[in-house]
Amino acid sequence: MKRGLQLLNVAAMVVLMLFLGAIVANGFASRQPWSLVCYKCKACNNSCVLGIDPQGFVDAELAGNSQVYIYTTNVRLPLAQAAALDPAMLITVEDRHVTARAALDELHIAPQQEITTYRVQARHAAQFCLRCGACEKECVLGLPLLRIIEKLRNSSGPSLHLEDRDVQ
Amino acid sequence: MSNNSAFKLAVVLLALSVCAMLTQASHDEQFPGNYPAFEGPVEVSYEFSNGSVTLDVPAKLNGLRTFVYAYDRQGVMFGILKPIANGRITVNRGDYADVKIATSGRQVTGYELLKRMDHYLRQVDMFELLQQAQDNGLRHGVQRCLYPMCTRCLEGCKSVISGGDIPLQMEVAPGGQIHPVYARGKCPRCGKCFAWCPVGVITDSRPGRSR
Repeated sequence: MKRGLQLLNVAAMVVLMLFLGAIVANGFASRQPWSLVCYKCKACNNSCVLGIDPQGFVDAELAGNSQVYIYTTNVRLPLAQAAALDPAMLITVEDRHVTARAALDELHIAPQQEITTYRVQARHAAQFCLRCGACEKECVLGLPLLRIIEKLRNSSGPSLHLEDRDVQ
Repeated sequence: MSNNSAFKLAVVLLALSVCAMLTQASHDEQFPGNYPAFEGPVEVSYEFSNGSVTLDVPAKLNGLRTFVYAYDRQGVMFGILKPIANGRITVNRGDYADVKIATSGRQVTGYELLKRMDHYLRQVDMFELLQQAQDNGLRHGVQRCLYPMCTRCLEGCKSVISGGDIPLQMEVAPGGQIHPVYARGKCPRCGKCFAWCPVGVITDSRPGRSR
């Protein structure tokens, strides 16, 4: 019985070490190992005038996927532009969170009406970002958030100026 | 003998010429940087209608996001970040301010974001505030500079100037907008302020000149 428990203990430790090792390996594979130290204190989030959660940029970088959805709760733009960017983008309409496509097709909101975003892809949030550096200033760990944002901006194509999109 | 004197004189003149040339070259290289230049206030025209106000802004700002600000009767500044589409900004009834900025004279003394995640800590209707400012002659308008949320130019300046006496300062203009000013004599022309300014309010005063 005692021997069996010892084996179980060792097996659990091995699994745990493999899991932790995989996290660290993933951090190095993403070329952003420092991002592992982010402990999601949300100090950065509270400093963003656009309501962007910069921790989402860290997660996107760690995952190597710029299409993960991150909270961006205070970017105002015409509904048509939101739908053209990403129909699955979550927007806030009268205290409800719906997709841009649903707002057009089901709620019949006028395309030119200004809406507020709620959750958008990290690459789009990086384009909306004003790069004021308030998040980086607040980060207690001094993570290079502006560097990630710049990288995401550069990887997401042309800038999202309103005149680049058809607003009908 | 006379040949020897002429040779010495020629050597001295040559040496003087080389010295003069080297001195001039080093003088030109000593201050390679450019001074910053600042964009002026944005001229806006207002069109009030029932429940909304439309602000016409210069076409060059099209596609950007900028602050619409208004002061209340207590002299507190409120701002909302709005997109410019087709040369216009529209503020509707129910558009709440994003930020409250406290000022004292020409100084900014503090600020508070009024929206956290998707809820407002305090709801200040910007349409009503703009209408009140228009009716009562209170200061209101459009501001491109994102200070005090953004302080990148000041941080760039502090990174090259030791001590707190930096040439770049922020002040509240008579029109109510916050804008950067600098002391020319103190400026080391490092260029960090215009290189780091994310909204293009601070620019290179001589953009064509190589740095």
